Amino acid sequence: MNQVEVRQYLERYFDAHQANYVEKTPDYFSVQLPIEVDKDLGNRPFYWTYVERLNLEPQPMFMNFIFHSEKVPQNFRGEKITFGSPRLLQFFSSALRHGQYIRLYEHTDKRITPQGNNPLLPWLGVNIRVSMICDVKKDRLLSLGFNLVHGTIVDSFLSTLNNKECKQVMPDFAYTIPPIFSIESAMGKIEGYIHQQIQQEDQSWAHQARERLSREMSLVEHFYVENSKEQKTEEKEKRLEELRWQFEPRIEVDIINGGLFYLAPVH
Amino acid sequence: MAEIPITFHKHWMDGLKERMEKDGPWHHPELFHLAWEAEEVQAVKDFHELQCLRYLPGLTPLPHQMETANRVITEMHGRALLADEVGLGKTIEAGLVLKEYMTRGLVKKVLILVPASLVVQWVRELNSKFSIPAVGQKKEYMWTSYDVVVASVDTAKRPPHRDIILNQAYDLLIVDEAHKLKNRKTKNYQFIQEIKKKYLLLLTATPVQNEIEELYNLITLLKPGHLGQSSEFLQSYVKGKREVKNNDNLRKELKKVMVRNRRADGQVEFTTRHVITVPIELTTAERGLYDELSQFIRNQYQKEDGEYKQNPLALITLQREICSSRAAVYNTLVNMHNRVAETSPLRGEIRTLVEKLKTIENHSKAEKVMELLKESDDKWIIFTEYRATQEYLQYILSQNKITSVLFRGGFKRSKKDWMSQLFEDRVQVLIATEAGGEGINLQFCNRLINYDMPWNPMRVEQRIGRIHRLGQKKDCYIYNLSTANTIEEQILRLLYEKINLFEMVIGELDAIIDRFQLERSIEKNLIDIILKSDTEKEQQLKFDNMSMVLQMMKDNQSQDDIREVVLP
Repeated sequence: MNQVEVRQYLERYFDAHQANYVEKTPDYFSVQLPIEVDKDLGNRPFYWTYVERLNLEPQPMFMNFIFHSEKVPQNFRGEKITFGSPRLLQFFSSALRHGQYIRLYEHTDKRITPQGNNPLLPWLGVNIRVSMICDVKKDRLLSLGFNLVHGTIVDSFLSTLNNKECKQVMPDFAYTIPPIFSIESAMGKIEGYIHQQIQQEDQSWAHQARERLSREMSLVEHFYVENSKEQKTEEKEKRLEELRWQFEPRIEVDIINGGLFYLAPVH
Repeated sequence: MAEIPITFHKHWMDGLKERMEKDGPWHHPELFHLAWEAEEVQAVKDFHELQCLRYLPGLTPLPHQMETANRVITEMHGRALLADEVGLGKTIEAGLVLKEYMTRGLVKKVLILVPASLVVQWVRELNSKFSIPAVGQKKEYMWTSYDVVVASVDTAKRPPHRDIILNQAYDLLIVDEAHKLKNRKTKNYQFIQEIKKKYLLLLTATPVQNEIEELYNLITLLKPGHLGQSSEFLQSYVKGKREVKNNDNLRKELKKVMVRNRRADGQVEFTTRHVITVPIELTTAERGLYDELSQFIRNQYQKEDGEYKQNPLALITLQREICSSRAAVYNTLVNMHNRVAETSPLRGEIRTLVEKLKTIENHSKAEKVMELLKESDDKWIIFTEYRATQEYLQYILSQNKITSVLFRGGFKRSKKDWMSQLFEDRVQVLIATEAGGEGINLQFCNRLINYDMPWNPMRVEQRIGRIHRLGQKKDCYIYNLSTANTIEEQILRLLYEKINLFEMVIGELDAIIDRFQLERSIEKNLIDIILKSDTEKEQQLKFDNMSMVLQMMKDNQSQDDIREVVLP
């Protein structure tokens, strides 16, 4: 992320929260935190308990951000924020906490019949991170959509939504088709799909990690062989445990976010 | 091949079902997108390519530091001995490795064990250079409630801390100054061995000091078994304490677990250090005072039932202060005076000396400093051992309309920062009494005056190290003030000319001092010589002997430097 992208990210974050800007330029801005953001990131839980207990008018705090410090007027005090600053990571995790579950409906101009209502098909959409871990690590991101009526799975689901207009409210003249698949069974299918994807991936990283592990383990076996005293066996077991922890290949799958999407059928 | 175990975390589903039942609340679509975009920018797309620099826009590591971090992660799999020579930035390398692992989500719980004097510095560097929220351990609960903790080995190994640490698993353990773990039988060694850890970094500039076995011990701590059992190691590689065989094989094995960057490899350019001795001639009056004080000191020490026979510390201080400033001498004399019994004839003697002190008007050394400062409008640092001298110098400078700030070991961190900031932005001279410990970086300055000379060569090196270090762009000028025909001149000649202290490359001195454990003994010997010599001549002779010994040690060190034979 460069500085322009960092700024855009923050601006979209604050816009989503309908925040008030005190001052806003491409190089810096000053914003009053919306109440829920202050509670999330302001790091002052006592203040908020106090305000709420006594029913006081809350005073959300202001935050000043600097994106290009060389272009900021001298009297502007603020926090320089870049990709990698802990502050930005806070906004990332705040977005994650408050952007985990959505429900959207497609709004389309096309009517199937001039008078009739439009059907909308239910989809389960999930964004997923697959982490391949040994002593090193690599992630693969997947955005999958599962059609809850037909049982089909679509890859890059989120980007197929890009040219559709989706809103949180159902359009007039539309109805949703009831799902045939339950959420559980849909998730089961998605899990199966991911397993399949993983099988097709290059697995040499795991082979190599296992080779490294067995090499290291044989060194340890050899090292402790002549020492048969109790304590040494313990030490050896501990060391082998460390090696497995360090090298053993494994895969972790996490759902980042997702939700229900009601989309017009594609013909 | 066996299947790779896959863990599918599905708790997200619970939240979804709950919202479906209750018909909400649903999150804002824009935040949904932002959350996913954050994930996309943070995803690790490659097993090997270093990610952490994207997160550190303010940091520009040197190429050898990047390469080291890379090798530690991809070739050494996170267990490595970082053995760069002093001054090449081992801390930066360790920080890069740490940041990289944290960025990849492979490391969360971290313990960093360093000498007590370096705790604050590590915490600062990790926070300011790497945005890593490290804390210095102060309270017991911190071991468990913070993820990145910096502490001293001595604290960590003591109860109750010891058990708390041994009960946790650390994703990464970093040990600075790891040559202190060269002996397998020590408590420290065993403690480090017992800590449960995934990755391990050992940092030291001197992985071998006396015996090749030290290196074996360090590597075995890092990866038990890497160099085989100790009997095998002795058999295959060791010919004598400081002699090895099968060098090439050993070097190959070492290369798998250790990195040693050298200044000589030319990756790092250090600027030239110019050392200038500035002789000072005392005026007749000053000379008289010097002689009288020296005689006084010798008399006091040699008095059979004298106050100072058992505890000559005040005398030594006095001896050293004579060449620094009269302000310093004055304070010490007054203290001595007040401490002896009111009836003691010593009081009278001291009063006479003080009276004499007051009659002398000029101060040749301070005048010389003023001359030097007029040579250049650049920033200057003046180091002195004494607070009284420090204040006196500031007074003299202000009389001459030269701006200055003071810097002392006792200042709080914030005050130190403030003073060095003032020095950088506003004033011409910084007058400091301490150099070591919590580093202040003053690379923007390249002129240094040693107003008086510490008797411990490490302290001189630390002083110079403030300005002559990585990041210094200009040549450095070191001015040593040497008052002719005084103890100062002798010390300077002994320590700094005979063993060529000033021409040594950075780090060479550490090696010698460490190896022969000279840290205290040089100073102690000097004190002995001064107090126990009956005549100037005897003193001179003893100094010469000592300098010959030092010279020999130094030659010895460079001739059979075992490190050059073995290390990759």
